[in-house]
Amino acid sequence: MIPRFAHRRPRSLADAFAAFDAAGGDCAWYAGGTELLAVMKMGFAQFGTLIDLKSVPELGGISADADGALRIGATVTHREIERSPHVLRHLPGLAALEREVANIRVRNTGTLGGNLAFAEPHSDPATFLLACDARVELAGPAGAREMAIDELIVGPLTTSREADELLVAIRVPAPAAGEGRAYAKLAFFERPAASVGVRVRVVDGAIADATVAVGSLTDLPIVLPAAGAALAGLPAEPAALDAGLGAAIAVLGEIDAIPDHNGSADYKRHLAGILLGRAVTQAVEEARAHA
Amino acid sequence: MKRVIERGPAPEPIGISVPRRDGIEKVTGAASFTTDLTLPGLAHARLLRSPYAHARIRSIDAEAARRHPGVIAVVTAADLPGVQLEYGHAVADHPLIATGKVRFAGEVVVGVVAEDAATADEALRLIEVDYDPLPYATTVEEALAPGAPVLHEKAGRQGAHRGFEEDITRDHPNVCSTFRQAWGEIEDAFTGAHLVLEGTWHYPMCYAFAMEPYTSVAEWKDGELTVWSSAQHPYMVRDDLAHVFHLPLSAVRVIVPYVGGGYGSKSYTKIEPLTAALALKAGRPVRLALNVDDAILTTRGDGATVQLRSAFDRDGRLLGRQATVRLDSGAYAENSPLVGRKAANRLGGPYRIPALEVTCQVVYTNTAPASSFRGFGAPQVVFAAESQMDEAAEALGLDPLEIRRRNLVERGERPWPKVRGLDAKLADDLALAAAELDWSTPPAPGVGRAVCVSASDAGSEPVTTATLRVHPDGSVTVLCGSTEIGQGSATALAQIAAGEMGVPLEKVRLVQSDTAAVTYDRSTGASRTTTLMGLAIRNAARDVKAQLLEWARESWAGEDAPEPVLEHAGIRVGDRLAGWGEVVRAWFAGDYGEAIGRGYLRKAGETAEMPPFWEVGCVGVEVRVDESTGEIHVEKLVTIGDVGCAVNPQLAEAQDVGAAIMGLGMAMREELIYEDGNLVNGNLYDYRVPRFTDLPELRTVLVERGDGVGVYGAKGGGEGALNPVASAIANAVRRATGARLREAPFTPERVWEALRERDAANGR
Repeated sequence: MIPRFAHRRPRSLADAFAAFDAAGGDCAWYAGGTELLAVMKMGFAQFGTLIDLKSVPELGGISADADGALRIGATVTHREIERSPHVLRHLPGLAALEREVANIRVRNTGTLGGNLAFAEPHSDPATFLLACDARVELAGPAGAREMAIDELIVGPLTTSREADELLVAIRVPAPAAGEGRAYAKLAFFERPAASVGVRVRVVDGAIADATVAVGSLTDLPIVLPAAGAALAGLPAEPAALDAGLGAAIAVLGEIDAIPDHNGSADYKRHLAGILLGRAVTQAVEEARAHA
Repeated sequence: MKRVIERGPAPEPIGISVPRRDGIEKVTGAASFTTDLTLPGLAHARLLRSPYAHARIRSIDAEAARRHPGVIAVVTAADLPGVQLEYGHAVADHPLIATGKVRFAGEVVVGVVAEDAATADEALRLIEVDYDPLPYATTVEEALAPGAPVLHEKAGRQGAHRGFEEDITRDHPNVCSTFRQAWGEIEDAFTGAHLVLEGTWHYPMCYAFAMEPYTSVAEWKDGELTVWSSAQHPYMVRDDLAHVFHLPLSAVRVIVPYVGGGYGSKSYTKIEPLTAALALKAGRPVRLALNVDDAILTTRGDGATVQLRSAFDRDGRLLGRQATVRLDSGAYAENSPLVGRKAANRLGGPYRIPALEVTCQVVYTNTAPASSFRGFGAPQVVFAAESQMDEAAEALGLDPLEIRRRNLVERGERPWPKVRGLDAKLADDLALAAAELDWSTPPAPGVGRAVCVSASDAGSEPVTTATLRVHPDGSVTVLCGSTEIGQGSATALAQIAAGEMGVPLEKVRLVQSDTAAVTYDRSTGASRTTTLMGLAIRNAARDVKAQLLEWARESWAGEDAPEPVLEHAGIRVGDRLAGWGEVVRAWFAGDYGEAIGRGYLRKAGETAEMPPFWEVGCVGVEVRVDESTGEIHVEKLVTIGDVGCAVNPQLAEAQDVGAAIMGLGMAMREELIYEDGNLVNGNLYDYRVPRFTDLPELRTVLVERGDGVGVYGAKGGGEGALNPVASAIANAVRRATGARLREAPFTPERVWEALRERDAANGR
């Protein structure tokens, strides 16, 4: 049962900070509530006041610039992202990912900002956005700042956000020429068993450079520069790719994976290897479209 | 849905898929469940549970909780003098609240009653319990190890269900009961065998996942107790409450509104004694509504390890079967001793086995208590038995269908001495399932098919009554103690009454499950309701018709008066058919009065032999395996619903498909996991049941050969299709990949490991 709490619904960013101030520290930001309310129900956290951000206009909306760089408001729901024409056009991998997040009830209420701020180690968006070099905008009473995903998420359920700070938006850079970005996961239960986000840039029929991010294996999503480096130089076509993935998969095989109900560390590393192949294939395909 | 009908005609609306009577109110949210009940002065209870798997309770300091504003009562075992704290169906070993010691993490230690649930929750946090942790055993292996911690220092008393005296052996202090089923010369069977196979299979402990968690409301008035509860068996709960509070049966009233799913998990007594005790101390009516996490800690299904050895001759005929079954039954016996008996019996059918020896031990562990669960021991043992049948077929080069055909018991043949002959043509059912899977067409590479069967001796004691009232307008009210748990009894039983009385369905009202208003029924479980309550209603209809015939003679007697003749829908008097209402009006000489029919059913006559019917299961699957990840994709699931007579075909289909899907969930993903003494996935996030998106193509064939004991040959359905599912999937995976699965659920990692074992065995 959720302990009693006061509910505040500010109508602007300034009002939100004022509400935070008024609550005297015993409060939490509240958007979709899909993680927060569950945690409160389970008795793991208790807050005197929840400051509901759903009516703060500065935190909503999805926009894209002429090049295809995206800016997604922190309180945009998974469902909105999944259906956004901007996202579908410029970052289809994110729309596809959002279509598979958790379940329809979570997608309808859960927000991207909430997902990142909660820093759940199995987060789909965090893993993919990490591979996409996305950045987050934060605002607080002391002013605004921005940072990369791996600067925000610093540990399991831990971010570098100050208590009085808010995630305002997530920015994803426009794809460079010949760039493709894709995400692949396997989920047998509510949360993924393993997930891989990949960015590749294809020049003259071969992978010029790549980023590989792996989620759900460790207690926070990680970028594996050695795996990205191992992809560089591979010819960008399916048969050759499959044959050449061994070195990158070997890098994933070194991950100090945490066993869970999905399986042992060995099995999870094995899955990550399978997913790397799937994600790279998709990313290369998208890269060709952007060539 | 296809139907195969080889039975005699039945009067309408029997055999017609009339819409569910509770359908519209349920889908619109208008239907009332226990949780919707409000009463003047209703107070709300919350429970403090043990964080320890096994611990002595040194002291409980609840003073701050008692003083918390809004708290009405704080209740521990010490606050309940005069209450018989231990209850239990098979063995009375379960205290309604912890007495001096806790035996599983999640056991109830303190109850708080307050003006609202949030206040009660706040008070729980103010309670200090001083525990002295003890060593614990959360697996059967740990519980049976030398020097294992002992859960129950002394043997429990026999509970409400007599007849387990012999089974309560305590040959080890953590063995709750032992049951042995045996016939034939087992040594000889193995000595002369052409093929002996041996293996060990594991079936998980599971949660039944009724959509409605356990909920009870209790109210005391003038020393009499009324309890509203999400219970399958109101009369059994009444009996336990009378025992716990030393009341006459007539002073306890149990009312069961709609129940949001049971699957056995709401069989027998659960939170009702505790709710009543809380209401007693609070001096107010009290509502106790558990959430899913708490419900998982209340009852689960028995996990099982099955060691099975079978002997075959060179033609694949079974010569003997020998098995040791160990059930992980948790901290309290509940109904597991009966599950143990059934698990042993259900290794006996559906094949002709000249010699059998099965020992089944019900073992206490420091985990949430296990009890009745759809399938009742059958899913656990059928997984082993039907897997081994395919292994034998493979070893002997026989088609899996053919080895089964050679061994199946014929209709009318007794699977073992002293039981009713089988009331189904299983070989024909098997052929239907095979046809639905295009058995004769070879599957694509990487695809496997399997067909499996089972026969359960239905655990349905035929002890049932029904009352049928005929009103002066000819309409009918039926009083019965069977509960509507979502299975459709409210519809099917009304159809039987309408069909038997020859009145339109809309003139039949069915009143269910209120021990002060309807007459006795033993239980709503073991797929018994349509069959046994159906017979009781038929008997009540016959009784009232005989009464009405008598009344017609008395009312219309006279020298020239024609002799009244009983017909299906009324009484013929000369050339005129008098309806039932007219006979009532004539006898009372006015527009009033009613006739009362009594229907009794007991272990006599047509229901003398046990089991009253066999619940058979026959399923087929087609699977595809992703060898890179170990994922099994079940592409097709075929069920043969051999129900004798489908009183409502759509409901019968839903029961068959629902059972198979539940089996699919347990075969593929469901499993309660204990780590360090605690249940670690006992919540909605981590315990995964199938979603619609997980479902394969479903095909059901309803088979109606009129061979059951019930009305027009009906017999129970609703569990059968669950039992063979795990073995069918495992056998299909074997045929698709060569890997053999012996531990359910078949998580992708377990499949991946089995594939690696296959490769290692093949030298790859």
